[in-house]
Amino acid sequence: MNLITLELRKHRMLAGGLLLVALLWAAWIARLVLAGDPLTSVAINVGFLFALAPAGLLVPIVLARTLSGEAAGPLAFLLTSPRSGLAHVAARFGVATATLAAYYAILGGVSAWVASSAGIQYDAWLPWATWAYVMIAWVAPTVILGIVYGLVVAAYRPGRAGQVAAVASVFGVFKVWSWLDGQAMGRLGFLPELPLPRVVVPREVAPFLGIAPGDLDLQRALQPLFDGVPTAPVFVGLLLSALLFWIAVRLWEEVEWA
Amino acid sequence: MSVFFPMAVFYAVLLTLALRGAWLGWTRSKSPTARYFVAAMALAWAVFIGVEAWKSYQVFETSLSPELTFTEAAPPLYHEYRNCRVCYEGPSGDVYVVAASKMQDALYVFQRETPYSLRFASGQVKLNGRALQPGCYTGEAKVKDTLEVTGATSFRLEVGEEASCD
Repeated sequence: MNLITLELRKHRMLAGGLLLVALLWAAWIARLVLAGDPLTSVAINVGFLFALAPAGLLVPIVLARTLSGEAAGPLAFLLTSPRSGLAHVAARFGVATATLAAYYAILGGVSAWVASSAGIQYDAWLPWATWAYVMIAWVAPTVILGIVYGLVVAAYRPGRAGQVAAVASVFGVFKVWSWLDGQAMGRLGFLPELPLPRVVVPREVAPFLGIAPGDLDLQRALQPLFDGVPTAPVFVGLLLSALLFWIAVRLWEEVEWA
Repeated sequence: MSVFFPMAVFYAVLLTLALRGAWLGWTRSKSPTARYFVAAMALAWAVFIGVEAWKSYQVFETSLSPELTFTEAAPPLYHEYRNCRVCYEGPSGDVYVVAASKMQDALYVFQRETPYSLRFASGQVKLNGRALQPGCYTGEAKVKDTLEVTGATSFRLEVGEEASCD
């Protein structure tokens, strides 16, 4: 039994359930497309994407609420020696992030496949770049924030004080996060920009996406409005994840090793 | 009683939660990291709440004041009519921007003397009745200068001191 398998043992229902939902959805969409109706599938896909994507928030929420298996917890006997804070946080963060990476890869991959089979043209790098951007800029910081929430609650005696402190500090982190994003977007002009992706929606697909009839070339449409996609949120996400990771490691060693 | 009162109550509740969180976070734990982290983040939240409350109070003040003036908030130009696809009009950084992937039919009138830059890829744009070729132009607009657009693509008009063709 190592830390990774311990994490999987604690969270297999959550991780497995999330991936099962994504796979069932993928199979259903694939059946619609292969039955020869990619156009309707595009509309259904877009609708379901907005419903399914936020379900990934379950992972950090559950991480925030469960500390079972901590140093003196019910599953501790499965490990032969106490673990360092770094190993503990890395295992929890790694398993949760890998689960969400697979989940969003399935959502994004299926959407890209449906789009291309319906005739939407896009750059080959677009799905992967979007996935990586979302994972680094928003998913990773949210996951580690969930872990920090749980550890902050554990740093106080059971009761309302710890909950109030944890809620207030997490709201503070969200505010600082959005403030940092705004500052980085406005002031760090030297950061590289990603090019605007080339996405062409043909006229047959447009009505299914609620776009005015006619071809839509997204790149040409957005070009006078934006020069490119800013990478500032990615750098802010990296910085925030690293800081929260360090805080989680220290919290674990101070709170659970005592 | 001020119209702002319900908002003030809302912000006061949030502020109480933030300050109480900071106090409890600082006093009720033996873990130094938890104490510093919770106190710093909760106080940061309190500062943001204060700033937000002050800003929204200012908005209420100005919107309710009797000597309401549009001159300061007014954009440097306005349109008599406009028909565009995928467009944005408003402040962007240091300049006021009118951008559109396609502008079918529009008439803009400048309201004050200001530098501007104008760029479009194809189509026809008339400045004070004089037709311009596609490209990028900079200049100094006078009050009541008119810009007539008949079917321009990749249209971008920047107005302000920082307007440029870059």
